[in-house]
Amino acid sequence: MSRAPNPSHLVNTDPADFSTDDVIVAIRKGEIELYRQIVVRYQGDVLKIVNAMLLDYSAREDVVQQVFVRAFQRLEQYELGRGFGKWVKAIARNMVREELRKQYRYKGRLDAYAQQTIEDLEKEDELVDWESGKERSRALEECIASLEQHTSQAIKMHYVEGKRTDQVAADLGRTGGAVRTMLCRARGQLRKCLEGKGVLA
Amino acid sequence: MNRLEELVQKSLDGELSRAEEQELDALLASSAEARQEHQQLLEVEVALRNLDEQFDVSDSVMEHLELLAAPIRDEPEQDLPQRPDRILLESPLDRWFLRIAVPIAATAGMVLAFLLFNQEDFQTTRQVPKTAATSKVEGFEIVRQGTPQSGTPNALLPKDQLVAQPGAQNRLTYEDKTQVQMTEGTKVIYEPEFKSPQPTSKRLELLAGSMRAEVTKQPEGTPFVVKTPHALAIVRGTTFTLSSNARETRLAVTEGQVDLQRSRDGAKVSVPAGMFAVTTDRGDLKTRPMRSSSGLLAYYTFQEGQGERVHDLSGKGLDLQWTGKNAKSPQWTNGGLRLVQPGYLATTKPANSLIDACRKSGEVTIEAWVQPSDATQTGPARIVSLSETSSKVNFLLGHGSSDKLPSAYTSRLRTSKAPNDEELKTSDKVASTKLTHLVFTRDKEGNALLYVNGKKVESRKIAGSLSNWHRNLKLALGDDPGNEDRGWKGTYRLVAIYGRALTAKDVSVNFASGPDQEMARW
Repeated sequence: MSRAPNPSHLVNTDPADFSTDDVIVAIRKGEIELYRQIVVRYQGDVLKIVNAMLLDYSAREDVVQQVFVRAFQRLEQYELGRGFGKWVKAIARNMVREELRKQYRYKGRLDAYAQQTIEDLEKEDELVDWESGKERSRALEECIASLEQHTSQAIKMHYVEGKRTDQVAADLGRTGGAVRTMLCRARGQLRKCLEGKGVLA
Repeated sequence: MNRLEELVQKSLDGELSRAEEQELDALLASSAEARQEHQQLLEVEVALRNLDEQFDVSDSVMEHLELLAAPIRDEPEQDLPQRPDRILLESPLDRWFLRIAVPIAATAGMVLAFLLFNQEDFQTTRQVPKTAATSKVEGFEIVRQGTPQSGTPNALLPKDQLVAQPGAQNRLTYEDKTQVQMTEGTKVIYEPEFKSPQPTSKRLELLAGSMRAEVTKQPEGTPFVVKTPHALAIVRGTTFTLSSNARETRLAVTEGQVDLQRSRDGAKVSVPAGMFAVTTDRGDLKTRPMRSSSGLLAYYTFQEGQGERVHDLSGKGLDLQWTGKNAKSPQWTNGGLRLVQPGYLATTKPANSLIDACRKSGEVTIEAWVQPSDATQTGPARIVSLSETSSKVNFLLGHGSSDKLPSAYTSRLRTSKAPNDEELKTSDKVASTKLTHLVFTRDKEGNALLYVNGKKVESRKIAGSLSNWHRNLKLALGDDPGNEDRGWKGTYRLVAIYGRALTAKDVSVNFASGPDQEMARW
């Protein structure tokens, strides 16, 4: 286990220089603001799990936030040295299941993809490998670049910059419906492009 | 774009109709190729979502933790959670500020000023016109050039700072009959210098706190302008409330119209009567509808920030008092009140005005914005109740159910045909630890509806009138006053009781307006 840090020393130093466990020890001693560093470090991994379940796009921020709030509330249960990333992702998977159950209740259905997602989420390592595969990322970037300019621009604004479709529409001077149609067509084009590159199932 | 792509798009947007859902299912069932394409489209969507480079929830998580770690009033210092960023202030006034939202900001003022414009754009020097002079200054400490003045000076001077004092009517009255009231602790600067987009008749700078103003129609082209840390409120003649703290400025308009111009980028929105707007340093500047107030019998927003009493803002006098025995006091958080068990809040007197109004109308609405501490609770645990014991109930809105549904929300209602009260509850797993909007309505035809987060989730007929409601019961939050064995754990942000059944549109508006509409007590 890593050494216990001096919290005040941590506060005045770049927390990125310390291990996650060092930072957690300091948080437990009261340096709550350092939890921000934990969130920054792991939110990308948690987001991937949330993305994989294809909730309403606008709900994902709320779910990721709740994952980190719950992790904070249970921080005393985390065993130092066991890997915080693995621990917080387990919390994320459980919360994803809760969200899926809610969707099932309200929508009256749980489609095949969501069921598959639950099974995939159990296989954390495979999922992370899949998501972070450099080959697929590179292929996706190439495919986006091959789209018509205004379409790739809309894709980047929506998915890379996180803008809502109405904001994209306002920026591009189009209607929300037109942007949604554009994104829908783009998804189909990207599917064919990625399939052609042999990186889709 | 083929049909499958179109259906997938609608599915992702949550807009698939029942017929389209069946169409999608049929498409997938009919062809392995379609299933593969469907799978691939979803994989593309996931891959695209993972491109997000701007995603960052660190601010919102830390704000949430701040709420969770908010200090408990009057507890010994050593019992407070360790918070390196917590500010310890000494005076009760300062603690009040701290709790309402850290550096809460304040309000109102009034300015006199008439601008002698020798400049075209922004004016910072003015002559004080007659119409801007104050005729009465009540309930303020006045600080002039850094020195508190003894007594109340006969006339205010530009740049005087006014601090609304406790236990007083804090009011400025101008010669043109414009009146500005402020809540205790509010700080304003009278006739300050700041850049305004047009000449002004009166100026105030709201440093922190809340003000309510009834503004007489101002001379054409010279509005009354109030500056806050985030915006300018430009007023031509209307009634409005304005609150400001370190995070945001909040404007609610009762009559007329007020323009709100954000300082950061000059973005402006006109707020008409019945609407309110919030501006912060970040985020959208939008107007939202104000809550329905027709038929309101009790209304609590939990903005007191200290003490053991919650004021009824409906004007019906049904204040709530903490009445837990041998228990910790409730915990004030930024924007709410968290109940720890055992303990509950109850009206200081029987809620007979509320009971009689519902008996007469035959209708009732119970509304609550709450955040449960635990998703599973039992009892049902009493969120809001007009009951003494589980066998003496007029109504209740609860969490959990007696038939093993710990994550359901439950309502019960006594009527002449259901003297032992009828129940209407959601399915299990609806309750969570998220902030949630709950509404139960029952009209005189017996239609009972339960809404969660603006959506109707359950309904049934509960026949009979409300004429058999028990009298002399207290409205209670958190437990039954008689038994104290149905305790609910969580945070209250807003509770309202109406003597009518809110319509679905009313519920939608109240949900859209959120739990924080009212900051001030008027």
